[in-house]
Amino acid sequence: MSEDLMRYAARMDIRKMGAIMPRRMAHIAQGAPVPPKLDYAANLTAKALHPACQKLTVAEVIEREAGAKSFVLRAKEGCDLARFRAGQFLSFSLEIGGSTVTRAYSLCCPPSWAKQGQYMITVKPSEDGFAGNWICANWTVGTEATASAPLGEFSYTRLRDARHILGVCGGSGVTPFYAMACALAEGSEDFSLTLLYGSRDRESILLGAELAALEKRCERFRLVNVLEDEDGYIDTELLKKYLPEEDCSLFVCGPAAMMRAMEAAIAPLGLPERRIRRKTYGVTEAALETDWPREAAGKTFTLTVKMRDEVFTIPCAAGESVLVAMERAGLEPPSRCRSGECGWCRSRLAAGTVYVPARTEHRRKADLAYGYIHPCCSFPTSDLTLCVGCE
Amino acid sequence: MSNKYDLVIVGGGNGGMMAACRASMMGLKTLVIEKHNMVGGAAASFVRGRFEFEASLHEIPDFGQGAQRGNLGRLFDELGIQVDWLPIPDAFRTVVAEGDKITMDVTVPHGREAFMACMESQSPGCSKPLELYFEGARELERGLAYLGASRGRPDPEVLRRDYPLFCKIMSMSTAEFMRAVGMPQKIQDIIGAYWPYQGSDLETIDASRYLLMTEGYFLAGAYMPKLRSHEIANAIQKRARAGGCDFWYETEVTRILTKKGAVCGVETKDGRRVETCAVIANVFPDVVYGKLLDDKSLVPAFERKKMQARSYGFRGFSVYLGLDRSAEELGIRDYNVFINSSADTRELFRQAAAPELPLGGRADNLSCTCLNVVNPEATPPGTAHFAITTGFAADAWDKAVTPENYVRVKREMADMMIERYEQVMGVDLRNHIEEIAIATPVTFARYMGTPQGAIYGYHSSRWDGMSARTLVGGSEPTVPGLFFVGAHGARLSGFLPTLTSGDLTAKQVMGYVMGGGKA
Repeated sequence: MSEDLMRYAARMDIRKMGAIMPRRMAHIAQGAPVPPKLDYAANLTAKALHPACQKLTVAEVIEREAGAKSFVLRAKEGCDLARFRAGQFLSFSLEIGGSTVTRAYSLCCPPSWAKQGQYMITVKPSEDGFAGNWICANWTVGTEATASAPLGEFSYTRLRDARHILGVCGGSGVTPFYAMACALAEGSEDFSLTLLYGSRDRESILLGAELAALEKRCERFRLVNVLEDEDGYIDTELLKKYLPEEDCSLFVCGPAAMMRAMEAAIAPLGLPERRIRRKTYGVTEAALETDWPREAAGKTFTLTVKMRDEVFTIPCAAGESVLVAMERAGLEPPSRCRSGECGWCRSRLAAGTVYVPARTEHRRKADLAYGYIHPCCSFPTSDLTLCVGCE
Repeated sequence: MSNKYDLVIVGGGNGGMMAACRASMMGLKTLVIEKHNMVGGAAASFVRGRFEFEASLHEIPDFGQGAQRGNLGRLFDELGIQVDWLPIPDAFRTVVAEGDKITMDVTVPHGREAFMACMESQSPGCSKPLELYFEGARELERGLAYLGASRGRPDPEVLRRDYPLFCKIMSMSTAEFMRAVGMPQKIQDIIGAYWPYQGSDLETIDASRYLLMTEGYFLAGAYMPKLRSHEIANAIQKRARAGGCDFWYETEVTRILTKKGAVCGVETKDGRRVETCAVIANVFPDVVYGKLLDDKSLVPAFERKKMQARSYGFRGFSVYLGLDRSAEELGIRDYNVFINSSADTRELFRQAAAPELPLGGRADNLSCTCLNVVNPEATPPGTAHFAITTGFAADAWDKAVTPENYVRVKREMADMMIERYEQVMGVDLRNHIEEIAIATPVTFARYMGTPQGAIYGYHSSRWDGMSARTLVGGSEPTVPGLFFVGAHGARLSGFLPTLTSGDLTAKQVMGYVMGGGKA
C-alpha cells in the first residue's frame, strides 16, 4: 500500500467491517418467514399478452367466396384471449393423418374481439394446399384447436410508419388488411389505409362485401379492387396513381409469386426501404426459388434427428423443407411462422448442407457462424444430422 | 428414472452456461435444461428485417490483450472459449442537461494515460485521489483473492494484518470512499455516470463493487463481441458441448426433487425425470423455493425471511432502433452516452424508483448506444443500430400497465426517450426509423422469467450489497445439493459477475459431488 493511501486509510474505520454481518442479519430478521409471492404483475402481464398456447373452440363457420371459410374461434366461457395488433397471426398446431403440423393464419377480425374471448381467421383452401384444405374440410362448430399467442411484425407502428398506409395484397393476403380496416372502423387504430386488392374476378374477391361495408363506415379506409379480368395486375402505374403525395408506408402481403412481381413494380417508386413492409403468404417451396440447386431435384436424403434423449432417422426429400420432412415422419419439432423470421424452429445442423432462400434468411449472425438453421426454410442438399431442441 | 447426471443446470443464462462449461470440462456429467429455444439468457439478440438487435449487453471489461487481459478474459482462454472481441473506443460520454441546458458534457476515454489526462483537464490535481481510487481497487482484488483461497473462512487475524485496507473499504459505500480519498466533486460526478450499470446510487452501492467494476472499464478498456452477445452464449455452449455437456431446450423444469432433505433430481413439464445429486439454479431463489422445490418445508426459515426482506433491482426498458442512415450521416459519434438531468445519483435513483411512470413528462437516466461506432459491420452499409435504455427501480411500470394499454404505454415511454435524446444531442432519429422494437419489464419477464422482469437480481442495498453477500460466504445454507448462479449472486448483476459466478459455483459443485453428494 502506498504511503498516501495509508495516510487516508487511517481515517477509515476498520471496525465497521465487523458491523456488516450484524446489519445484514438485523434486516433479514425483519422479513416475514412466509413463502415467496409467486404472482408478479409484470410476469402476469407477460402471460396474458404472450400465453404459451391458447385453447380455442370453433364457434361459427362462415362460408366465403371461392370455397374459403371464416372460422370464429372462442376461448373457454368467460375467458378472454391474448390481445393482438391488427396484422398479427396465430400459429395453429394441427394433427393431420398422424402428423402434427403448424400453420400460420392472420387474425381476421377487430382487435377488440380478443377482449371478448373471440378471434376469427379466414382460410382459402386452394392456396395453402394440405393444411388449408384439411381445415376447411374438417373444422366444424365445436372443433377444438390449439394456437400460439398472436405473433408477427406486419402491423402499423406509429413511431416507425407513415400515418398513411398504401396496402397491396392478393388472395388471402387480404386477411391482415381486413383486421387493419376493422381496427380503423372501431377506432382502435388511427392511421389511414388505402388498399389495392388484386383478385381474379368479381366473384372471387375474398371478404369483398365485408370490406366494401367497412369502407362505407370508415373514412380512414379506402378500398380499390383490382380485377385481373378487367384491370390486369397491380403494376407501377397503378401504385403511382394511389401513392399519396404525403409521407406513405407501403405494406405488401401475398403469395411468393405475387411478392416477386411486386418487388419489380415497387422498385421504380424510389421509396426508402423503411417505408416498405412485406409479408409473404403460403408455403415456402424450394422449386419456386430461382437459385435452388436443381441438381438435388428428385433426390431423397437421410435426415438424422436428435431430440433430447432420442434419435430418429427419417427420409428428407430435396424440394421439401427440413421441417416438413420431420412433420411428415410424425415428429413434433417446434415451429411457428414457417417463413424463416421468428426463429422458433432454430436447430443445430451437426452435419450436412442445406439451401436457404435469400428472402427467408433471418438467422442471427452468431447462429450462422455456429451452424444453426431455421428448418422451416432450409432445404437439404446432402444427408443431414440435426439437433432439435437439444445439443 | 431413465436419465442420470452428476449435475443438472436449470436455466442457461450467463451463470448457467459458464457453470456448464466448467463442470463438463472437470468431468462432471452435466445437463442444461432451458425453457427457451436457445441458451444465453440476457446474452441474446433478435432479428427484425435487416437488423439484428443486441438485447442487453452494452460492454464488458477484461478482454484486452496481454497485460490488459483481466480475470474473465483469462478464464475464457483457460476454458478455450473463443469470442471475436472488438474494443470500444471510449468509456462513455456523460451529458447532464437540466431541461435543454447542458451543464456537463465530458467524453471519458479508456486506458490509464488518456483517462488520467482527461480527468486532469476536468479537475486539475485529481490524479492523486484517482491513483488512490485505483489502488483501492487493487487492494480489494487482493483481499477477495484471499477470501476465495480461504474458501469463505478467512482467518480474522490474517485479514486485519495483511488486508487492512480491504477490510476498511468493504464496509464503505462508493461515495464514502470517494470522499475519504478526497475525490473532487466534479470527478465524482463523472465517474458516477456509470451508476445505472451498477444498480444503485453512489451512496448506496458498495465501494467494493463500484471500484472493481470501474477500474477494469477505465484502465483496461471495454469490449463487445463482433456477433452480438449471442456469440458469447454460442461460444461457451460449443466448449461445454466439447466437454460432453448435454442441452435440452424448450423444456421447463417444474420440480426439483429431494430425498431425505437433499436434492435427488428434477422433473420437467412433460413428465421426464432426471436423476442428479446436484442442481445449479440459474433462476431466482424466489422461484426455486416458491415453485420448484418439491418439499417446501426444506426451505430454511432464514431464506424465507431473506426473500421477504429483499426487493428487486432494476427492471429494464429498452428501445431498439434500426436506422436507415449511417452513424456518420446521422451525426452520432459516440458509442455510449449517458443523458441525465442531474449529476446527483441519489436524485436520479429517486426518480428511477418513483411510484409513477414519467408519462407526459420527461425521460431521464438514459444510456444510449450506437453499435456501429464499435462495429461498422453491425448492420448493412448506410444503416445504424441504436438503442436507448433506462431502468425502473420500483413497480411504477406495473401500476401503469394492463394488457389493454400495454402497446400505448410502451410507445409513449419510448417516444419520450427518443425525444429526450434528440433534444439533448441534436440528432434526428425519428425520421430514420426503419425498425423499432421496445423491450419492457414485461418483455424481460417473458423471456427470462425473472420476477417483475428484474434484470439486476435483488436490489443492492447497504445491507445486501456485494460486500455483505461476499462476506456471507457459504454461511447462509440452502438445501443440500442446491446451488445458485445469476444476477442475484454475491458479485451482483452484469455479464462479468454472472459469468464468473458460474465458474466458481461449478467448482463448489465438483467438491459436493466428489464428497458423495453431501454438504
